[in-house]
Amino acid sequence: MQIPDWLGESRVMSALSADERRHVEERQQQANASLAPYIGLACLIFFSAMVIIDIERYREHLFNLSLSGIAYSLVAVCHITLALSIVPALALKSRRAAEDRTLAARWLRWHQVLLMGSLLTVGCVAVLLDGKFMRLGSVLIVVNLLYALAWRCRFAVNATSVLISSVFVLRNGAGEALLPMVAFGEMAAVICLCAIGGAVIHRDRVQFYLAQYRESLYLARLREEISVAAQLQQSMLPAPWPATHEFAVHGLMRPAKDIGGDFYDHFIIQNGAVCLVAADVCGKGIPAGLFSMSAKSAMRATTIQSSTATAAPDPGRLVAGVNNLLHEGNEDLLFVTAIYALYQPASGQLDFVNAGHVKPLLLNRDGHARWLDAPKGCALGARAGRTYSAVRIDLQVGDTVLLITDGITEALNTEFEEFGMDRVMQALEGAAGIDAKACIERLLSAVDEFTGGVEQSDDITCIAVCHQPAWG
Amino acid sequence: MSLTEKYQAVGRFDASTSAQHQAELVRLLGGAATSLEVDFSRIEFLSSAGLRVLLFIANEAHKKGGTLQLTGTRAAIREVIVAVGFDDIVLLKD
Repeated sequence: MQIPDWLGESRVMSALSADERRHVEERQQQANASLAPYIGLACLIFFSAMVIIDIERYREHLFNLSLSGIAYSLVAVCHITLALSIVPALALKSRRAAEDRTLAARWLRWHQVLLMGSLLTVGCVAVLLDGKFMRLGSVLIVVNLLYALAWRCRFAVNATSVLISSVFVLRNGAGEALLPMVAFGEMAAVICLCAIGGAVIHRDRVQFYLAQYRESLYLARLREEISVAAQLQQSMLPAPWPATHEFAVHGLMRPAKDIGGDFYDHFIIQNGAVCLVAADVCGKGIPAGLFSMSAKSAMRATTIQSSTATAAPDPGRLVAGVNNLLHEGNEDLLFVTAIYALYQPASGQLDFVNAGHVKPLLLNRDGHARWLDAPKGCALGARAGRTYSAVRIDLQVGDTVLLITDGITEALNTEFEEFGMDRVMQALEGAAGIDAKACIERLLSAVDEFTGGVEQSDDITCIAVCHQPAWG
Repeated sequence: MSLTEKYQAVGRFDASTSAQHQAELVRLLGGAATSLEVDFSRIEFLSSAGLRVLLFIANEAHKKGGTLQLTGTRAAIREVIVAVGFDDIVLLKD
């Protein structure tokens, strides 16, 4: 059996940092403030009964200059003080208290001081006047059990309660008949239990407040870290966007949560070709984001390595290498779908591989759009030893190739309809002679208009390359 | 000896439900069974997180010399599986 931890709350509180203690005290005050109006109502009933007694005493001329007369007067004053304590308690329910927190705190303090002061004085007078500890005991029960006290007071209150309950039994129990003794014993037990109960309840509450506070600090730190990571992720995506007379590239990655599982990439390799990637890792959030960064590095490393080894690297074999690399040690079997393209600005030749991804869209100078088919390849990282084959297209002057992820085609509107591939085409068809940047802006404004403010459920990524844009 | 366990999946097969499906499928595959047959006729939606679970389970079955088979898959979901190139990893049956 475990002995109740009498000093529990004090011990917990004394071990806290100043910040934590301030927070716990604030929460205790909030709990007290929500309790106070109800105690005020209870006191109203108690006060009404007491007024009748005081009037009776006045009629019997008990308020005189004898010792007991002074004691009765003191008690009557206490009853008025008790009545005064009701006013601020009820006022805590008013609108002004809700608006002005410092005023509410002051009202609560007044209420508590008046209430406890009057009750304790009445209790002590009862002890002095006719040696009855019952009232003081009851007062201590009420005060101890209901309100969260200043933590340094609690031990004193508890100790007094238990002490009183034992005095109570010793004084009233000895030499009396059996039945009243049992009743007094029960009363003493109730006082003791309430003291212990109050101690345990308030200690647990302090620990609960504390756990919540620490959790909230942890969450705040985590949120901060995630937002830094999200910024870092954006900064790891390549910028600036090239825009020359030869070619222009533009794109973006807009994560659904802070961290995205999508990514794009573009970089120039040794033979002058531009490598373009749009990719989507399965799942969302931090795990997908981590895998996306490793997939991006794997693609870059493999591309640069083979472009230094051979003059014209084969995109199919290159992607197969990336697939094997991503499968290695990938025990959770995360996978990434991607379009991988190698584009020669000099000739307009574009080779691309589709690894389980949304088809690329070709938008020509006259504003005609068509989806580019390619042999189906498996998503990267799923199984080793897969083969991929590339498709070659020859871009004409002003042609734009657009790579997107399913965050665009599966964007939902208020009617739960998907944006779909047809709307991608509709958004761009007829847009003659636009460059990469205009193409991306046009597509995204169509998506945003369609979704109409519905929360984005998947990462949105697109990247477009325009061959020999007609500048100016 | 090959033994096939059957599993009925219902509703959405996405990030919020996939962990539960995965645990159940792993449990079924933990016994004597080498192959799994999942009734997909009542699955309305399959996300990429769900695809990852199918891939994981297919791999586990493959290690034991068995297969993962989906029956009654709806056309839209079949398309998703074919699009990412998993139609030879996960067997699709009518």
